[in-house]
Parts: sequence; C-alpha cells; structure tokens
Amino acid sequence: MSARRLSALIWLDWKLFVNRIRSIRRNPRRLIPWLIFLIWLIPSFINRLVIGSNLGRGPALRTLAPLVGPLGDFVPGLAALALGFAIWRASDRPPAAFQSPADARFVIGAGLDSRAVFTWLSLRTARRLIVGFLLLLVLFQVLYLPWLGFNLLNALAFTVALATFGGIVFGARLLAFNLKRKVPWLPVGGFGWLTGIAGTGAAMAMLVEISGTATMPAPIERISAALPPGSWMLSAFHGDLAAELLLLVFAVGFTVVGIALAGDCYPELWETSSRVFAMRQALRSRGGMFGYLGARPADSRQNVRQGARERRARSSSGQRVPGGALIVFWTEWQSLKRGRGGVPLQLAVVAAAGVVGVLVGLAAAKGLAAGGIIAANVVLLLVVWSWALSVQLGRYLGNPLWWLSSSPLWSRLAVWTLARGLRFAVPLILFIEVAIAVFGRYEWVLAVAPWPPLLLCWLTQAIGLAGYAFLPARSDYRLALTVRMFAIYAIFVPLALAAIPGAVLRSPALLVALPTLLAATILVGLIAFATWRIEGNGLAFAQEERQ
Amino acid sequence: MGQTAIRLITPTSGGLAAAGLTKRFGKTLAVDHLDFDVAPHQILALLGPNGAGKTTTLMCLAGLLRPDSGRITWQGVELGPTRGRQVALITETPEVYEMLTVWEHMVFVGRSCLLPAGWQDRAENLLQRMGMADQRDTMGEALSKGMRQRVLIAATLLAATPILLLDEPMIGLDPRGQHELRNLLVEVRDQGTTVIVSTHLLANVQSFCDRLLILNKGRAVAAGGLQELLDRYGHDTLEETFLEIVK
Repeated sequence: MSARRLSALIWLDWKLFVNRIRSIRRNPRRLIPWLIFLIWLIPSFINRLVIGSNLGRGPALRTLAPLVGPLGDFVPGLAALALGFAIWRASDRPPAAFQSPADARFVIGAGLDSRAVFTWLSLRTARRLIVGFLLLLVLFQVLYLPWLGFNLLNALAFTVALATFGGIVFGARLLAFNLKRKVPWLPVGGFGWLTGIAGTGAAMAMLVEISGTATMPAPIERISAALPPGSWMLSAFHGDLAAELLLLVFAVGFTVVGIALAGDCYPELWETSSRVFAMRQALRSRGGMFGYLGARPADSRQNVRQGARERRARSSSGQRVPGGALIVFWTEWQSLKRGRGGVPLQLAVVAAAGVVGVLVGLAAAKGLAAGGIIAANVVLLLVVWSWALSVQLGRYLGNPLWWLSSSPLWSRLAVWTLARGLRFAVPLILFIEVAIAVFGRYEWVLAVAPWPPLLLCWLTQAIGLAGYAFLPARSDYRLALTVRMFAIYAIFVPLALAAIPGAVLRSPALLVALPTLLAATILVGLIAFATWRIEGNGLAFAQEERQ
Repeated sequence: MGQTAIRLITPTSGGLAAAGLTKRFGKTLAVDHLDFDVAPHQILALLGPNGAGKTTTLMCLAGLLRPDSGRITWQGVELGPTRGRQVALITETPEVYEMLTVWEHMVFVGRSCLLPAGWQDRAENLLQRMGMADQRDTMGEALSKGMRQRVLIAATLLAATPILLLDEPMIGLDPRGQHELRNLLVEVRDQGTTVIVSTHLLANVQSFCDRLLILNKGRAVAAGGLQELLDRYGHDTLEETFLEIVK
C-alpha cells in the first residue's frame, strides 16, 4: 500500500474541510439556519434540564428507573443480533462509505489500490464515530444520565463502549465482505445468521427470565449473559478498562484484517454508495422518510439498477373516482398505494398504533406513569415525523393538468393537505381510541377524541403548505424545516391559550371546543394564505422549487 | 433488417475491446453478449433508444459495475481493479467536489495518481487550453455543467488516461457548449485518446464520431462508419437509418 496515495486521500479530506470553513466565512448567511436552530435549541435545552431535575424527584422517573435497569441484561443478545445482521448483510455488500458521487468517481478513477481506499474510508468512519459519540456523550450526560444517577465517568464509559462497538460492527462488515470476495465458498452470511440467532436466543432467554414466565437452565442463562461482544460492553459500561480494551482490540483487529484482505471490489463499493446517494437525494427532494418510501426513481435506468419492481399497475376503471377537488384524494391514494411498502406498510403502521394503544391503555389502567410517557412519546414521534415531511407541490403546480381543474385552488389545496394529514391522523386516532377503550374510563371521549388529532395533523400539513408558499424549495433539510418548526411552535401558543378557559372552568367541553375552533380558523387562514401566494403564479413556484 | 446481435470484435485489436459483455439486473438483461472494439485515435458513438444498455455498458467499461460475464481488454490485456488509470467516465451529470477549487481537482489527480514531477505545469497548460485558467480558484459548487465537464476532461488528460467515456455529454449544454465539447473531443482523439460517447443527439454524432455502434435491448444491432450505415440501409439520414434499425 502506498503511503503517498493514502496521503493524497487524507489531503483531500483536509482540503474539503478547510474549504467548507472558508466558504462559510465568505458567506456567513450559510450559518443562518443553524443560528435559528440554536436559538430554538438552547431554550429547549435549558427547559429540558429544568424539567429533568424536577423529574428526577418526580414519580415518573421512579416508575421508569426499574424499567431501565433490566435492559442491561438484554445487551449481550441484542449486540450479537446486531453484529450477526451486519455480517450477513456485508457478506455480499460492502459498507457504503463514499460521501458523494465525486468522491467515488475521483477515488475509483485514480486507480488507487483498494487497501489504501479502505484504510482511508476506515479513518473516515473512525472520525464519524468519535464525533457522533462525543455529541452523544453530551446528550447523555446533560439530559438523561443525571436523572438516573450516573456521573460523567459513567457516561464516558457508556459512550466509549458504544463507539467501540460501532467500530466492531464496521470492522466486521469490512472483514465479512472482503473475506467473502477472497474466499467465495466460505459461508460468511451463514456465520452472520448463526450469530444473529444466538443473539436472538440470548435476548429471548433473558426476556423469559425477567418476565418470570419460566426459569432458564443455568448453562443457558450463563451463556446468554456471557455472549460477546455485548458482555464486554456491559463490563465496559461499568468502567472495566480491560473490557473496553478488548472491544477496541477487536474493532481495530477486524478493520485491519478486513483491509488486508481487500481486493477488486470497486463495483460493489460504488453500487452500495450510489444506493445511499439515491436515498439521500430522495430524502431531500421528495419529502422526508414517507416521501422516500413513496418515491420511485425518475430515471428508468436507475430503477433497473436498483432492482426495483416493474413499474406497472392495474389502471383504475375510473368509476368510483370522486369529482372536483376530491380527485386530489384519489391521486394521493394511488401514490400511497403504489409507493414503496404500499398499503401493507400503512396497515402495519396502523396495527402497531393499535398495539401501542393497548399497552398504554393497560398501563394507564394499572396506574403506571410509564403509560403516560409512552403515550407522550408516540404522539411526539408522529408530530416530529410530520415536521420532517417537506412540501413539494412542483409536480402538481408544474403540471398543466392541475390548472385545468374547474375546482378553485383553495379547495384542492385543502383536500391535498387533508389527504396528507390522514396518513398520520389514522394511526394516531386509532392509538388514542384503543388506549381510551382499554383504559375503560371516559368512554364518552371516544366520540370526540378523533377530531383534535385529525385537526392537528391537517393543521401541520397546512403549516407545511404555508411554509412552501413562503419559501418553495426542493431541499427541506435546513431553512424551510426550521421555518416550519417555528411556525408550529408559534401556532401552538394561541392554541394553548385557548385551552386555558376550559381548564380554569373545569369544563372538558370548553377545553376541547375552543382550541379546536381556533385551530380550524388558523387552518383556513393558512390555506387562504397559500392560495393567495400560489394563485396565478404556480409555474413560477414549480420553477423555484426545481432551482 | 432483423434484431440479430452482431459481432464486432477484431482479434488483433490494439485498443479497447469488449467480448461477450453481459450484465443483468435481476430478471432484466441490460447488456446481452456485447462485442465491440475501438481503436486509439477513434471516437465511437454509442447510440440506442432508452433502456438499450448504453449507460450500463459504459459503467461496466469504467469498472463501476461488475459484468456477469465477458472480458474487457485494453491493448490485449484484461482490465483489472486499477482500471481507473486507463478509463475515465464522465457521466450525464458531471460530478466534481463542490468544496474543491478547479486547481485543487488537478492537485488531487496529480497526487493520487503519483504523477511525475512537472505535472503542475501540464495542469496549468491544460486549464489554459480548456479555457478554465480564469476559473482556477473557483469552487466546484459554482461551476456550470459545461465547466464541470471541462474540469473532468482536463483531469483525465492530466492523468493521461488513454480511454475517455462520456455518457450523454451534450444534454443540458447550450449550442456554444456543445460546439466547444465537440472540438475538445476531436482534439483529445487526435492526441491518441480512445473516446466513447453515448448520446441521443443524432445530428451531433455525424460531425465528430468516427464509428457508430447502435444498441437495442442490450445487444449490438448495427455498427460501422456513418456512410457505411447509410449505404447499407439505403437512407439519406442517420435518423431514418437509426429508426429502421431499432424499430
């Protein structure tokens, strides 16, 4: 391996970093979205700390702490499962490590020795792991661990152990891939399967043991607890330096042997990386994770390359298609149905919502505060997901068929936002209804409960639409997302204020009615704003979005 | 004329040769036992309708896709994992590092390819010839598609890559850009580089390509010089000939 060639790659990373800093210095406006984000983050950080210190003394944590403790017993099994899965996947697919198409093209184009390239990619991964886990350390230390009685050293041991486990997974993937290429008859994938099965078995054994369903034979219990590298991780969590060293030795050892075995693998490296580029591009341009799931590559060649399904579907007869603005419902339904995952994915989400609803209902019925925490996190997850949904109307606005419609623009936009909102509203409503039904009290709420979440989801989409009408953009990762998050916060303030009279007067009807009425008014206002901005100017919006 | 695959390889080829090149994506046969060769000092136009296998062929030649079967040789020697030193592919969307300047791209090539001393002067000359000297310190993110192509061609010439592959290079270029690119490719060809260009723009092909290879459904269905093909199929224009071949 040529050290000079490797030095060229390290020089490349250094230059990219320096030029990025220079570019920001020349154009500080690039930092504005981050500044806005920090302005939002710092108060919520402080807020979290305050809440955290209160929670530490509160009943919620006392309920949560016993739940967290036994989780450690699952670490050996889960770590082996993760490692086994990684080895199985890597047996025919290398880790995707190129950061950009230019990266791949220039590095492959330079005809560099694959060992030099893998060494460089490993160094990059190590850097990513170190930076990522430093942030995790801050997060754990400041936000979570003090609640559970951990100090900085515990947090450090915890994050270092997690980071080195990340290194082991990366090294194992590298080793598995290169070994398989070098010795094709070796059942590397099978070894991954075995590791995964052993991990699953260990985790299941622990689950049985902890739940008290049965008592495991001592040898199985011993093996389940001693399964590496998870058992080393557990020791490292408790500050055992020897265990930490063992993890590090394996991370470095796997990586070094993986690099030493590297041979002709550029096509596979390119294929995996290009798949990641395509996914990243889809995430940026098609609206978040759900957008990606529903996305199809525009380029047929890319479609073929990615092994996508054949792009054919049975055409609708057109008999039950609604007319007027409601046809937007139909087009969105077709997109959802024919998107990746299709109806089964949506049904799985709905089923999962139902199951979580049962759990929350049962927990609430038993008076466990954990139920409330799970419920709050489920709602938060859905709201955060809907924030991540970027709005791109370009495919409608740039399409002459959209403008042929006899329905007014506001009605089509209203239907469109509702259709998108329903994707989140349906599982959310089901979750709430099931939880209330299982809880067995306040049955009268069942009739009223669907409406606030539906309105909330619709409103969130309308905020996205208004954000788009204000700032049409293809990429939604930065400014547009920040604007939308601010808008959501801003709109929740009056909604919370509207709930005060109901809370003061202890009137549940008023508590629901006033905020709902206000939310409906805001919804109408947002759609009217978007209509006013887009009407007569749709093609310009589509153009702006493309740019 | 039927859609039979034709064999275009010459056993004594001194240039780039593909023999029995086959690539599948699942059930889709993207390239089907493709045989062809291109000599140095030649520009080969790869023509064909959408999905004919042009891009896949180029990706296989460049080593970005592993063919299921077949051989790719350069001057009689099979191309291996370090084929990047022989083959450069410039895709439809030419990718450069957004955060490197034009000059730094040349530096990276010079250092990573371990070029002998004096490459800096050659790099300066190349940028001058490509009309990019003024853009020396411009970052990749600020370059237009035409400029990016020129940077990549300059980098390729600096690395002295003897084979240059271009996938749909004319798409998105204005008439001046297309004209400049044509002249550039002819110049590169005259210096001894083997060039393969995949394109849909038949009118462009006539002005600078030495040979044409027409693909359909992954197979080579016609090959030869422009006049040769026109005579063979009895048409006056390449468009009519092309449409008859791929119908």
